[in-house]
Amino acid sequence: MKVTRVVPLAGRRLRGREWRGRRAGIPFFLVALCQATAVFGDVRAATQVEPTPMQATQAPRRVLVLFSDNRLLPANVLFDASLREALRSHGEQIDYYSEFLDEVRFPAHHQERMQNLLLGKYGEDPPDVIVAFAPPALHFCLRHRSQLFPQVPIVFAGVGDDISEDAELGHGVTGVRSSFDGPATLDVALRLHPRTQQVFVIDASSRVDSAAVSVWWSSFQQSAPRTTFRNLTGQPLPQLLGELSQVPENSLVLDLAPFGSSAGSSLSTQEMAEGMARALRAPIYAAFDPLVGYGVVGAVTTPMDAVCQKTADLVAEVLERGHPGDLPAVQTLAASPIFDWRQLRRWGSSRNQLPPGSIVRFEPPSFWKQHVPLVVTTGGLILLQTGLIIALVLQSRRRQWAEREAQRRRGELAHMTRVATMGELTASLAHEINQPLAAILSNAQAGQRLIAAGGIIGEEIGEILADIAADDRRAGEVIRRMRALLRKGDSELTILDVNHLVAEVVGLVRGEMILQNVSHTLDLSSAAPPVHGDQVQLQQVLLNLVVNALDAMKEISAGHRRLVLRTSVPDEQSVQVSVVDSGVGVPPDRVEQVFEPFVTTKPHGMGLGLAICRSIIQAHGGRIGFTNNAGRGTTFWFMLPTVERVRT
Amino acid sequence: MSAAESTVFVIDDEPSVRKSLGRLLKAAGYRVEAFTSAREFLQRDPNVGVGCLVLDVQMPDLNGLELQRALTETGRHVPIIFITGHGDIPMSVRAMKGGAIDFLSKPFDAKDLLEAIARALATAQLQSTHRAESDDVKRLLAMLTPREHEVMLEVITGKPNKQIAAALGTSEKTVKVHRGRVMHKLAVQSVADLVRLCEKAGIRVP
Repeated sequence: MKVTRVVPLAGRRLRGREWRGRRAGIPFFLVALCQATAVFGDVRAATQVEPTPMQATQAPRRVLVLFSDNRLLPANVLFDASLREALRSHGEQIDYYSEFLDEVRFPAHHQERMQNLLLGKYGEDPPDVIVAFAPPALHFCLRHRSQLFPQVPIVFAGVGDDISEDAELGHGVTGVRSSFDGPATLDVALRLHPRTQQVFVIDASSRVDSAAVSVWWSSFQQSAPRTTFRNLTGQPLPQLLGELSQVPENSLVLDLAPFGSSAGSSLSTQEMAEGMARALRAPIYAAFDPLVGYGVVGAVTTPMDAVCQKTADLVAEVLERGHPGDLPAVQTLAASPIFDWRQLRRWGSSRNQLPPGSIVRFEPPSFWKQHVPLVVTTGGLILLQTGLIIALVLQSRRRQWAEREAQRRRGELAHMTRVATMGELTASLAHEINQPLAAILSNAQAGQRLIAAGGIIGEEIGEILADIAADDRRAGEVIRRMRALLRKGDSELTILDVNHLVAEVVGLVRGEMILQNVSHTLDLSSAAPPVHGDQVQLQQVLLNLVVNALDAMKEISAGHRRLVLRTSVPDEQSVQVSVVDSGVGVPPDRVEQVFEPFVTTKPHGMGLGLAICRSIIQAHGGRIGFTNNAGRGTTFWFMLPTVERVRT
Repeated sequence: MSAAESTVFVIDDEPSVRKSLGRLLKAAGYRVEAFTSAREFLQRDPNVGVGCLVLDVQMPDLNGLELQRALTETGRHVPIIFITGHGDIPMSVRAMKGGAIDFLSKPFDAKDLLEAIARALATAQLQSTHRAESDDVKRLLAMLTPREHEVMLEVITGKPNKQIAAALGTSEKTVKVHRGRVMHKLAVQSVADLVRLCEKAGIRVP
């Protein structure tokens, strides 16, 4: 016998606090992410457990629950716990007593002993209400009603068709009728296992509560005419298990024994069901809720929790009314299909095959349900991270775009200054083109004259034509160089020989040097390794340095204007190109800002040339600088990494 | 004047121009001497006979215009035709003021160049003739005594003997004797002839 004082508790509120306490060790941003969840959790907990105010003045009400079977029968354990929970939710202060008739395991005359025991036990202080769970307990109560607390109202539960709806139960008896729908269970079973040929039925026709089962038995044949039915009722357990172990494929077992067992066995139905499920190669269906979970695939019956809830409601109502003559009517609860998810999987049935309104138990909670805070936190983090990644990608895109834009602008500016430089060199370029043109014309006209005079010989005309061709090519070269520098295009990286670079630039400024009376010397290193770069841009740098050098020498007397173009290898990884002039040098106050934009010593200069040179050389991974010569003039130089160094 | 006796001096630092001009001028019947620089030309024997220069303006070291000035300064009067790869107006004005025959921009037509050369050589010929005449007169004038030279300079001003005597501080009779000797030594009949002779010698006649 157990007596448990059930007092409504606000204990669940603790969970919120525990959770918040644990939180201290979690990094702050996680806390921030979880804050919302935690708050919602608190609110839910609070609303669930807020007790309804109870009548403090009233003494605890006494409820005696009478079970048909022993204490450990899972159906009893389930009912016991659920009823107490449901009663507790009504907020009454209740003293709860349970008694177990255990009538299967004891002979019929034991009932008298039970009656005396109960009278002895509760006679002095009878309970306020008796709850009879399952038909044996109800029948026991009804049978002993006159001796056993006739004034105490009885609320029954776990009773099906054994008590018909309009049964005359007598004074002070009400309860909850469940539905145990054998035919519907068979229907569902056949629908889930359409290839079934044989159905093995275990019923409890020997039991007092199985009055309805015989009615089902006849309906089976009607609903499944092509299926063979075999009745295994009444066999001793070892024999039954033996039979079941030989059940062929495409069979199913219908266990209709609600609480009892096969004849002569003291095993509970759950134990039997478990044993059968292990022995079987066919699915078992039952008609009673508590069996679901013990190897049974499913049942069409009233769910136990609904029964408990309704029973608790009735108990509460009965207690409130307090008068056995004025009891609420017997309630009948409808059946629902109930399934064991694990068994559905075992027999290859899916959720969508189930009839609408099915209750599926033992379904492992989804990852989401199991780990809400974790999933929310992780999801939040992933979202945060994704957002961060997107932001970074966008930022990087923007930066790339800005870099491209800057590069484009630099290219345009470089082009502009190139055009300006070439503009300064027009005289020189005209000179360089006109020289070969003059030679071509003179050669051609000399040839005409020689031919006209009739004195020309083959060898000479050949020489003339060869010279014309050579001069034409020379003029073409000048134009090619010019066009290359004036070209406006994307940067094009190639492998370059710095000596070639110098030669090309000299080809452009040779005329200028002649026009300005500047003598020049080339001091080229034959060991200069190749560099990686944009030919046009690097030529522009060199051209700019040379034009600056020529400008610097304008003030010097004609005889002293000397320019040296030098290539050298300062170390294994770089190549240096130097432009040495004998000009006026950089004024000391400009030394610091020579490469800054808009700083110029020229009357018409924009001051962009050297700034652009620096940006070009830096973009090539090189350095640019200058030194004042020991004697006169300045040396401007730039250093570029060799191809080898770039590769490594 | 025959082309064969005349020399065209081509001075250009550009080998292809030098070579092509040489060919052209030889085909036109001239003797050609080519120089790679102005300095090289200056180092040559200054006696050029009848000839002209085809001179590039833009050359390293000593350019065409500088050579022109150097030649004028040393009294070597050679007609010059300038050629240039890229000429501008101030450059051509300077050349023409310095006495250039022509100023041609490269590339130029052979016809233009040959015409200019013809003009230059004609000028050279004329200069050569003038130079020969003035040399003769200078030789005659050198035979006069200093006193006779003084009297001659007074005579060509058209002064009468009396005024000349007063100016030189001598007697009118002495002046008359000196004047007779001058006219005789110089083989002239009249004062007008004497004036023309003096002009040829480069003596300034008021």
